[in-house]
Amino acid sequence: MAQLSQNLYVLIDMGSWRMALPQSDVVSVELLSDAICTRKKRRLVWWIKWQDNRVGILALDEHANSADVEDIDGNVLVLLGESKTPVLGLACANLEVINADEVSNEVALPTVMSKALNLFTHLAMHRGELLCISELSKLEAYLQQAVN
Amino acid sequence: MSETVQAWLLCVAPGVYAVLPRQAMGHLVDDFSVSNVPQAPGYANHVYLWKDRILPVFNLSALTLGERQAPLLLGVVAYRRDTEIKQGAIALFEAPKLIGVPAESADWPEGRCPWPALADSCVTLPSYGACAILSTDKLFNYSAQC
Repeated sequence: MAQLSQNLYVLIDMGSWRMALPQSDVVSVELLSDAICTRKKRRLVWWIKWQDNRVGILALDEHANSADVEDIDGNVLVLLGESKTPVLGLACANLEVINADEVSNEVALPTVMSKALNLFTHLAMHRGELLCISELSKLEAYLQQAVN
Repeated sequence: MSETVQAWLLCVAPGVYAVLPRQAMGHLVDDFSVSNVPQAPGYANHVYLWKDRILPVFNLSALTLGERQAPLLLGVVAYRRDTEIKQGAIALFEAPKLIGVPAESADWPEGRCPWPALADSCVTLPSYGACAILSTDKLFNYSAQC
């Protein structure tokens, strides 16, 4: 069973683009409308209370720039982490678990796109469309940069 | 009579021309759609899915004009990344022309574009002025932080 889960991706539909992470990084799926907003100095910070933990929320716009949760299309919040402990919530329009066999032509990001390495490790194809492959540590670092 | 070599004259942005060695371009595509790669820089934030391959598209209009414009054509080219040969596409705004290029080098074209980071040298062409001779290796390994 553990081996099976390593062969699964969660495909996250961000509205105008799609990314994928290992399915094992998904801790829970919640509603974005349950998110809480507080003010940190001059900045609004969104988070959700999950099993007595406060989990920060990352919202990304069509350019994958950090955005306000209220500007995101969709009401899905996928909590990502390790060992069933979420480290961040990612706002998205929808998500789907797919088999790694469906992901093809995976390539490292070309050097000319190096700025996108902030968020993604690889590019790939899924059902004839582009898929950006990410990893938890990149999203975590991106969230930290966005809130600090 | 001065010596010339055959090369492609490319319109890399409206009103902006550059030269590409004849053997560097493999295919020309006029019916295409591109996919956006979020966070990638404006000159390279699209890929072209071609024959089950993911080709980065270099669009020089973002560097030469300061604003990316939609191309009419894509020229599929090869480039080297470390020891591997990869494929990419250059955004084109007119059909390429095969021309004779003089051997004498000239000064880089004026403007905002970082030509020395993208090209090997420059020539002066009648009617077109100074045109950079593009290096596909430099284009697709270009990083603005350099």
